[in-house]
Amino acid sequence: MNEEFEQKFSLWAAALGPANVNSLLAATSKLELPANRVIIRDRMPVDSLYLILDGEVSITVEENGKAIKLGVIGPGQVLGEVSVLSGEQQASSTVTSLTPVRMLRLRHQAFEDLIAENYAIASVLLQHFVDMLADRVRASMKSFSDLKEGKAPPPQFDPTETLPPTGKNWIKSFFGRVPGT
Amino acid sequence: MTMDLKQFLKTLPAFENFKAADLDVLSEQMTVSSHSAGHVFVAQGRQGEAMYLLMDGTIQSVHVDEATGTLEEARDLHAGEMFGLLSLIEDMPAGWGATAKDAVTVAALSRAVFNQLFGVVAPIAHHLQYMVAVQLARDLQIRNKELRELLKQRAVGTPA
Repeated sequence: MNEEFEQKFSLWAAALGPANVNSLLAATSKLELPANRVIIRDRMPVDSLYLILDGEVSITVEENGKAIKLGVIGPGQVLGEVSVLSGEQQASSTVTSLTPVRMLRLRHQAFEDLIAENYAIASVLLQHFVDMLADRVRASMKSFSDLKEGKAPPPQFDPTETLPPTGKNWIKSFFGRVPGT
Repeated sequence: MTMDLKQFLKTLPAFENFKAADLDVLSEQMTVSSHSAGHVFVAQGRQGEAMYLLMDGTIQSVHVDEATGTLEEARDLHAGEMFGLLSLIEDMPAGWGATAKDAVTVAALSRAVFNQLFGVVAPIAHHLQYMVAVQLARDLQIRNKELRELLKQRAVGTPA
């Protein structure tokens, strides 16, 4: 497990060091899911962070029975950070597995305990989340600005529509990075 | 009357778990100043100069929905509350505006000084970093909501 984590989350592993990687991994549990499984549902409670080790998931937001695709993410990326940090414990998007996925699940309480008890882990995780969230806020602002100026197509899809292949989702490049969950 | 920032910090629940010596260091890094009503500390959509701790008076914090241009939320901040947290992040326009509602006294922490705190009083720096992360997460939720609203508006006007 350590070897795969260090490979997929290389920056975290380098910054944390072996002892803190062990502490972090000890607080997680493994989760394996088949393709086409809803992992997080838009506006429903979320109680965990998910660290993706393998596979790909799609991100969508839902409005009035329609879904807007936001992108596709994979190994080395995290889900659920917005809900834990905002304190609302509520998803702001739907996450669905596109392929079989393997993830590490870190429950919110375990995450809060870790960052309260271990400054090294707190520093690495919080800096990562601040950088990631700042990028996502900037991306969201740029998307908003571009859309307002008519630079992007109006993306409205039926949620049952087949998801596009990875890397061909227009909004993935539009956002640069996927807005958080 | 000169307000003692060291003593003020020690009365705040957000800082109650920190050592007095660390709070002394923090207070030495912050700049206390007074301003009259109407003073604009942070303008929505613009990079702020510093994070502020309100020591006295009232600040009105407002957020205008960028999709509709309407006032989405306005709240009054009182002594002990912080605002302008995203000023601690480089190239990060503020999601909320902040204006003095009456005469106020604030303690300011600039981004440059905040970055130095990690080497001086790491526990407090991490605490502020956590607060920044929380603020970013909340702002992202608001911005994505506004983005959805705009997407919905555009979709409504689009021929099938």
